Formats: sequence, C-alpha cells, structure tokens
Amino acid sequence: MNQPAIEIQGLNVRFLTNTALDIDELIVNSGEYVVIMGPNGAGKTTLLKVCLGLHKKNSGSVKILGVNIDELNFTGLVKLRRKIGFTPQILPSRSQMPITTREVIQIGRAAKSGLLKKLTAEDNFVVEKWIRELGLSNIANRPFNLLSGGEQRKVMIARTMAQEPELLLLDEPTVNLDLGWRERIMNTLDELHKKTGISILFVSHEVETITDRCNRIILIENGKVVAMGNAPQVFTPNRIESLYGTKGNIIQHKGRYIMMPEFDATDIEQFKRERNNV
Amino acid sequence: MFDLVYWLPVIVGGAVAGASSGLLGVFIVGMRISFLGVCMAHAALAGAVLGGLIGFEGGQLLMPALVASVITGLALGIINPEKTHLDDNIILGFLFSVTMGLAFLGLGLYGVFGKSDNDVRSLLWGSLNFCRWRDVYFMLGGATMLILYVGLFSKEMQAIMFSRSLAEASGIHSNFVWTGFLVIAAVVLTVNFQSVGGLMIYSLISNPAAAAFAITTGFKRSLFLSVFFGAMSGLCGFLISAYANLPSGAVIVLFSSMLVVITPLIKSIKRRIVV
Repeated sequence: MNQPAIEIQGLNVRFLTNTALDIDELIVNSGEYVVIMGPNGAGKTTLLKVCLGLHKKNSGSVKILGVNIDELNFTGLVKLRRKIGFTPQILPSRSQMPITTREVIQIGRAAKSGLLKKLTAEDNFVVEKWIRELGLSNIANRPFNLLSGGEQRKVMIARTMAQEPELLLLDEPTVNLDLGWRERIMNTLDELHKKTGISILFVSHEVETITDRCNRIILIENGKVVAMGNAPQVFTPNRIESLYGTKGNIIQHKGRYIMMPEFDATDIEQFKRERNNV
Repeated sequence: MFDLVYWLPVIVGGAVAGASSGLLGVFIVGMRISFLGVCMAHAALAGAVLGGLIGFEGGQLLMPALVASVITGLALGIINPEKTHLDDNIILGFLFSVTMGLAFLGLGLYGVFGKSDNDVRSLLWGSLNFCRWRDVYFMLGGATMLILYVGLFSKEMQAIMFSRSLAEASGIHSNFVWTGFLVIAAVVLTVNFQSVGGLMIYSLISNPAAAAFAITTGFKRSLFLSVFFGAMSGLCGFLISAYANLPSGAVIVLFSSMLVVITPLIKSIKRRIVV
C-alpha cells in the first residue's frame, strides 16, 4: 500500500501565545482529493506552510510523502519541496519585469533540474505539454502581469504541474474569480486528478468549489479539525451558524453544493416549485 | 579632435559601467529595490571612512569600502522579508540609516583627529572624466563576475524575481542564490562608484532597465536590452558631451533618462503601424 501523502500527528503551532494549529491527527491518503475549509484565520494557510516546512511547529509529527520533515536537513527539505506543487493564495505581483507566461511555467522546472544546470529539451517538452494541457498556447508569449486574474491562476497551476509533483497544495486557487473562471479552474483540477491521480490538498472558502472528485472535506476552526466528511455531514445548519455567526444551509444540485444564508428546507422546495413554474 | 590616448579609458569605462549597471538594474528594478544603489553607496562610504581612520590611504580605501558593502549585501540577503515580515525596502532603509550614521560619525572623527577626508569623498563621487585603465580593469572584473553569476543562476534568478517565497517553496535555494547576487551587486556598485561617480550609477541602474521593460517582454530579452541601453547611454552620452563640450556625467544621465521617455513612444508608434 502507498504511503499517505500527508500524515500529521499531535501538531501544535503557536504564534507567540496564540495557538494557530492544534491537530491530533490528519491524514491525506495517496491519490486523495481533500478540501480544507474553515473561516478566516482558522489556520488553513498555516497548515500548508507547515507541510512545506516553511513554518516551524512547536510540537508533533508531520510526514509528507512518507518522510518526517523533522528528520530532514536543509538539503533534504529542499529536495522534498521539489516533490510538492504549491500554489499560493496571493498571486506574485512584485516583479516589474515583463516575464512571459511560458517563462513563468518554466520556473516550475527550475528546481527540478538542479543548481548550475540549464533546462533540457525534456524540461521544455514538459513546459509545452502543460501549456497545451491547460489551454494557454494563445497567451504563452504574453507578459504574466498583463493577464486577467483567472488566466494568472491557470498559469500558476501550469507552473505547479510542470514541476511534476507528487502532492499538490493549493491555497484558494479560485479566490476573487468570477463564476466562469472559477468553473474553468475547478474543471482543470478535476481533469488533473482524473488523469494523473495526484494527491491534492485544496484550501477553499467556498462550498461551491467542491466537486464530485473531492473525496472529503476537512473543516478547521480555531486551528482544530472539527469535522470531516462530505458537505452535508460537515456543514450542518448548527455548524454553519457557529462558524460564520449567521444562519444558513447547503443545497445539493447535480452533485455540487451551494451554501445559502437564512433559509430552511421548505425554502428550497418553494424555490424549486417557482423555478419549475417559470 | 580629443586626445584618444587619454579619453579611450573614459569611453570604455563609461560603456562598461553602463552595461554592468544595466544588467544589475534588471534585477534591482525588477525586485523594486532601486534604493539598493543609495544604500550600497553609503555602505561603501562608511567602509572607506572607517578604513581611513585605521590607516588606509588613496587607492587602498577601495578595500574597506568593498568589505563594508559586501557585509551590507550579506545582511540584506540573510534577513528574509518573509520571516521578519518586513519589506525589502524597509530593511534597506534600516541598513541605509546604519551605514550613513557610521559614515558621518567617522567623517566627524576625521575633524577630531585633524585628518583630511578628500580621499574618502572622492571614492564615492569619482568622475568619469578621470577614469583610467586601472579603473576600467576593476570595472571589467566586476562586470565579468556579474555576467558569470547571472549566466550560472539565470533560471534561479528568474524564479526569485517572479516570487522569492514561491521559489523557496518549490525547492530553489533562493536565499543562497539571492544573497550571492547581492554580494556581487555590492562589489560591482562599489567599483563603479569610485570610478565614474554615484549620480551616474544611480541613473544607469534604473533607466536602462525601465526602458527595456517598457519596450520588450521576456526575461532574457530584458537582460540583453538593458545591458545594450546601459552601454549605449555610457557611450553615446560621452560622445555627445565631447562633441558639444558639455559635462559628460550629466549628459550620460540625461541620455539614459531620455530612453525611458522614448521607448514607450516607440512601442506605441510600432503598435499603431502594425494595427
């Protein structure tokens, strides 16, 4: 049997005196597609940074792809990071340089090819493959900073996939996107999971981003895992109220979920009847 | 016609300083740390001042100036903005305050000890018109180091410029490569300052890169174009100043500034012709 992609036991992370994460156990099996949800400040991004070894923990054990990150020296950690594809929540906007889409995706190969080595024909082949796979051929030579937010997100996913990772950590890849781009990104991730079987840990705020391919949702509140399962199991009306401070419920439609404030089941039936009458 | 034997090192020095500053500028402007030039200048000054106080003189002052600017480059590279939650420019501002404070404290002590600070001041504000072959060799040495470094670590530098934190997260030795670059930048800037002067170097860091970014796309093209614009600024600026009998430094600075204005115009005209 394959090693779990992520295996966390007794994790505790503190910012000064505040506890940011306090997780007894969290396991993401190899090939699983898991969505981490929770309110702002719950510790979702910190969890991803701990998995990457970018954030120090106070106690506990974190094994990534079967390797305990505590047992790694600096070089070992760098090598492990090369197997993890990470897409951050905030898009890089720092550089003034008009770097092109193709060059951004080539960055995904930079670490893999090693220090003092040029990108090989194979590296460029992989880059071109992901440009094609994600439908970026028409914008491959355009500057990254002139692309729309949705296009930039897609480029970031292509950059991550060009790294040929064994584990994908995605921090809110659909944030601030309109409906069309959100769906395109979700379809892209579903296709990637279907084709490659890669393990995915996807941080999201929106129930609407949970698709059929998602194996389970892990809900984090105040740094603790408070629920695990599918959307109706995790987002009960009581939990929505305690999490977000407002009453709400979720509706299932064609395998997808929508979270709505202030309604009950009879409202949904009423809505469906009215829609059918129209 | 001017005396070529005297002016040739000046012409070559201007072109080399322009090219190496143009290459540095791509990374400095790209990372939005244009203040680096000012910070390094004051670090070099502090080093030279303190070196003068302990007995270094004339050309020897370059050595403590290099040591101080390299230490500043190392400090800037080692202090990770992600971990300190401080922007690079805030760290630069802090290092600038420290180095400037040390430099002026040292200059004050020259008066106390009754020493002359002329050698020290000329190190920071060298003039292109007095550039000699010895200075050109130093500048060529710095430029060669820089070209080799950028050539060896071009893909890592490209990743760092896109996002330093993302480069680190994807398994690139970003701190090592970035700190190495800052150390070489410190050497190149210090050597250029003492040969051709601070004012010219500040403008040759920013203007060629800004002009290149305005007219082209892509990492490599930006590098080549910025180096070309930098070298052209040094060369053409000097030739115009010699022909019109104007101060060379000022004309070079204005020539490089003109590039920033005309490149977007050229791009706009080109786009209209294509459409």
